[in-house]
Amino acid sequence: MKSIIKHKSFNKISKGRLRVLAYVLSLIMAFLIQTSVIPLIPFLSASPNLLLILTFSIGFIHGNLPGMLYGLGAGLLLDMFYSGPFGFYSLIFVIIGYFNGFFCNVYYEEYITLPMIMCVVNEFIYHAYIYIFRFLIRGKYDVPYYLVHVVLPAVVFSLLATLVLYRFVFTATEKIDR
Amino acid sequence: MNPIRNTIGYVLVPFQSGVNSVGFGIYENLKDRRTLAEVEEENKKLSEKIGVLTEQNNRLTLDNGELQRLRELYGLDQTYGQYEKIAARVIAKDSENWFQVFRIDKGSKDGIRVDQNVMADGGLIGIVTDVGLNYATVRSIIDDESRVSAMGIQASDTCIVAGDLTLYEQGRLRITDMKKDASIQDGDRIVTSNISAKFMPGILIGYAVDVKEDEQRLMKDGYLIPAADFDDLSEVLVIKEIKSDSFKDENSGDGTLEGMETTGGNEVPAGVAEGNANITSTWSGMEGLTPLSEVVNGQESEVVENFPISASDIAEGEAVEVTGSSKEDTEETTRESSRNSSSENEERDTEETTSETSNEETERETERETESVQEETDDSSNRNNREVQDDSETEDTEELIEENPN
Repeated sequence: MKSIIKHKSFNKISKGRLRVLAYVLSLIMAFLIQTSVIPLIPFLSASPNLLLILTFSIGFIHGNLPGMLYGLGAGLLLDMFYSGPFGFYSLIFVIIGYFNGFFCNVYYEEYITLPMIMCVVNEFIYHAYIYIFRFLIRGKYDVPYYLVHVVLPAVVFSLLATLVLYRFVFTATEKIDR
Repeated sequence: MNPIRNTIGYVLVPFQSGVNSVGFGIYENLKDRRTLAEVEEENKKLSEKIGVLTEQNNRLTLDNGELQRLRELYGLDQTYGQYEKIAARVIAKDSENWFQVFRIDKGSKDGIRVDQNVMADGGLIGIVTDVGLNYATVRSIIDDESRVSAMGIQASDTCIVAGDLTLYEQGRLRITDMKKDASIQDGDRIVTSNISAKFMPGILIGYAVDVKEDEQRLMKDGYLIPAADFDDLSEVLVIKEIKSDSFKDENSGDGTLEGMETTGGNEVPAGVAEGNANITSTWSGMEGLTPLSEVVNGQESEVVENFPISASDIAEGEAVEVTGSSKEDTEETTRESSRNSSSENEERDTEETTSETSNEETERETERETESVQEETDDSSNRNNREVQDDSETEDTEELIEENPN
């Protein structure tokens, strides 16, 4: 490591590689936790959508393209897990990653309010997307029930997870940059 | 010897017991006066032992729980003994509440296929929707998109058991599409229907509750409490057989369909061609029966011999009457050409200077015969045409007569 860091030309490349590696690892870890660990905890009525949080956090910190790529990875993982139409999750994750990239210029380092607001907005967009394309088209109109029993718990738990995860992503990027 | 022994015993035993009791007392005393260090050491050892034993006990309790569960599964296995099953462990679940899908740790290399039914706890759990090499995705019957064709076990009235997200928290499913006169009542066991395309028949789904007529009073609706517990699924059983297998068994016959199944969609025509080949071979194998094509050809030839009107002429219909003269012309030309050819043959015969005049005579005779036959056929064709016309006329008159019976 030290020898690589000594060469400044290699420094940037290794940093980039390290960052990519860290994000790929975080992606896989989040996916495993979300699908295999959280459902085992019985008292959680809903579980935080870690992949979504990571996707918009990275879009938020690094910009459009990284957000899109990360969203693509997360969406592909979810598409491989579910047996619905392939690309269903990829599409929404790519879109969310891309549009959160626009807020890249606005964010401040210690400013947690904006990510929290974005988390709520993104969660609502995500759940509306699922509702419209998987439920509404089959003639399920019970929106208030879905809102209270599905969307709200998910949003609340995601908000709690955002407090931790956003900080984690933030410090991780800082450490890699240093 | 016995009296002596008894005497000695009679004398010595009190001493022995006394010594024993004294010795025991001393020993106890000494034990009480052991050093603190000794006791602490022993305490340490014992607590270590307790830790080991507790850990062992925990493991055994867990094992016992698993044993219980597996025994229940096995009992279930016994109940549904007619289907061969694979046990699998649930390794991942959908974390969102929208969908009720989970993943099991067995895949295509363990023989899992799409549309296999999944059971646990004495009831139907779901269906395999997606298969990887070492995993498979299962959609629960409580998923909102799930619909299972079902029937009552008492009277086989069919209905649909549909998952519903809004009923999920009550632990219920919806029963729909039940006929108004169906005899399914509250508490009836609902099993998978034998007319279902994807679910094996006779698997218990749950128990019907709140069965009543729907608002339009056309069908009956109700709810179903599932037999399986969906909250803590850890092991499931996957039925190896799939329903479409049974369709195949009934239809395939000589097993050509299985070949089609394994090959891709592009090679299906090849399979069909094989099927045709089989058909022709079976035709040839049936002795005493002529193939349909030959029968048709034979009839055609007979028709041509007896009646010069071929099937195509009949199809043309009116054209026969109109082009009658032109047809005769063409027939005359063919006759002339045949004469020319026969004369050529004669010339060749003469060139070869074969003195077999008898042959020539016979040839001429045959020529005359053929000519006469052709003339006869021409005549007969005209006759037939006339007859046809006559028939149509007579039919018309008959119809007229029928219309005006007076």
